[in-house]
Amino acid sequence: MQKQLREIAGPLLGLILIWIFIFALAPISRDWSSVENVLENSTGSGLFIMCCGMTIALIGNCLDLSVGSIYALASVVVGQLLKAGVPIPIAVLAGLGAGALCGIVNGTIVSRTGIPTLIATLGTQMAFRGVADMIGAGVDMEQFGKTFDWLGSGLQGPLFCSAIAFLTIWFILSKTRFGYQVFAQGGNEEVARLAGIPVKRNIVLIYMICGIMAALASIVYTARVDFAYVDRGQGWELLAIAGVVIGGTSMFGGIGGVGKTVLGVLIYESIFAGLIYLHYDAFWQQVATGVVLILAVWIDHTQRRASASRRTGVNIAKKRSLWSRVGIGS
Amino acid sequence: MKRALLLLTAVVLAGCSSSSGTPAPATFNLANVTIAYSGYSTSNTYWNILGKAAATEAAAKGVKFVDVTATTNDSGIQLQAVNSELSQKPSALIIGSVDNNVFGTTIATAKAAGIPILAVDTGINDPYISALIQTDNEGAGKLIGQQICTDTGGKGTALVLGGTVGAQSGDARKKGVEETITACGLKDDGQYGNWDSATEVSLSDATIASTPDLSAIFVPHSDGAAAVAKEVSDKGKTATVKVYGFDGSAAELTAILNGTEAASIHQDNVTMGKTIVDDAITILQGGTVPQTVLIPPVLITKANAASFQ
Repeated sequence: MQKQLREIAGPLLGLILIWIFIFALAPISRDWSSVENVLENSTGSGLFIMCCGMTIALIGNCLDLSVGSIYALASVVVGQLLKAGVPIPIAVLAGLGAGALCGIVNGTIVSRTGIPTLIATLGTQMAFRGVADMIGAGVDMEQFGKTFDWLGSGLQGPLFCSAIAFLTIWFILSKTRFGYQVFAQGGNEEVARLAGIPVKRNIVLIYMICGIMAALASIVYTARVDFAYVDRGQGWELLAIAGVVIGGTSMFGGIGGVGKTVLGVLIYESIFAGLIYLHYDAFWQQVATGVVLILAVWIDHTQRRASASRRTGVNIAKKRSLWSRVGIGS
Repeated sequence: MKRALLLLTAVVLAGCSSSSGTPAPATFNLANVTIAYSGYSTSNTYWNILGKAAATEAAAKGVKFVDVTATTNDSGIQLQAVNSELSQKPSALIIGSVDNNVFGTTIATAKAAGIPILAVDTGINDPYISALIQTDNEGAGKLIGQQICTDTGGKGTALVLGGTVGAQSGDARKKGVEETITACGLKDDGQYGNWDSATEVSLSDATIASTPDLSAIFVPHSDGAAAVAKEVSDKGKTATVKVYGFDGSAAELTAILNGTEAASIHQDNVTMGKTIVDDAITILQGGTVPQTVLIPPVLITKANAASFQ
């Protein structure tokens, strides 16, 4: 417990400082509605749910750049089905199924061909977007009714869906054999393979979970705005990675947790809202998020080097770098 | 009839200068003409309609039409697609740009090869561009601005969103709205939503929380406007915060008829698609076309929204 608290101390302190700063400088924000606003945008946009999926992906060393396209694809799949009069549960399951299928495609490509994750998921990003276009481009899909609307409107529905996403990923990572294997292979894939961990099967499962979460995120947002649209989720893969990494999950695999992701997404959304409360241009949000992201990766990198040096007494030079894992350099 | 009137007005609004192509060879044959087209993205309904109208017109005129529109609104990917197509030496190139500032080398290459470039919806700032057809975006912004002034009585603050910084059409819409609302006494809170509805919803939420006298929100595209209208309605603020959009998609029209969105702008993308192909052919035949044609915008309110459905 103490170790876990120590691990989240940095981002937690950062979040508290951000809010002290906001409350001090923007009196208008000293109200529950300001906090509610941040919670609503973290959950209602689906960003937090997508980040939950990205958390397990990054821990397992499975970078996924296709989540934005899966977000668009799931939106039009659900939209088309609801428009056709299919019952809501079936439409939602079909949307989640589309996400799962995309994840299986990603996982199969990465595990069977050995193509670097960056390249493989960059390719599927375009392919999934193309499929989404085929299904939904130019089609009006709107007004899905009050029941579906509940999933995305206000705080209740999005919080409920976010809680499901959080508990699912938390349970997988901390209570299942598969979860431990994800950490192990994220830390060192070769060692995990030699230890008998079914790395290839796990890669497929990791991408599948990530795909399902991207689809769930999309369903929540589609419900929030009450219409499906194919031109969504562009650039969201980077937002999802930023949200996860800012919380303290490592870009280098093997370290992290979905609790940290809660903090990461809240920091991201708090910076966004805070700057608007302070009447700054939205550009500053991008600058601030970029700076925080670089800080988070730098801290992670420094801690890893220090930890490796302590353990082995040698430099970490032999440790595979992020760039080698994505296929750049050696 | 409405379309014919719009086109007639457009011609009146057309710029005084005109573009002419090099004289067509004596053996000019439409069957040998290839018009390449790159729109904003295939994911965008508005652009799909425009592209389809262009393709239909090309087929009607008997020219080959090659659509190299990318699936995403990524200026790098669009540039790559356009340059690849340019290497195939099309007869003319039509661009609906994601970023109007990236085509320097493309234009130089096209100029050297004598391939005319035409711009649709969004202007490209280079004298080599033979023709531009677009909605009068600034005029449309002014139209929306006037409506905001009427609805709010010039009181309060308006959140005026642009697209991405430097995007000509988004900037022009924002400018038109801002100039008009500040003239009638509204306070202007200008931001950029990057054409992303989730960002625009977040910006609107934060502004509602931090600006007690917020009375209007302008979103420069359809997806974002409908999303923001729904969000404002869910917060129970429709009576005090009016939402204004652009493009008038089905979701927006529903919102306008429901009373959750106050007004939007209809762009005649079918006329744009058709006319830009006609212009390309005219230029290739050695004829003259207006340098700029501004299609007049039409304000959509609750009173006329049903006629656009």
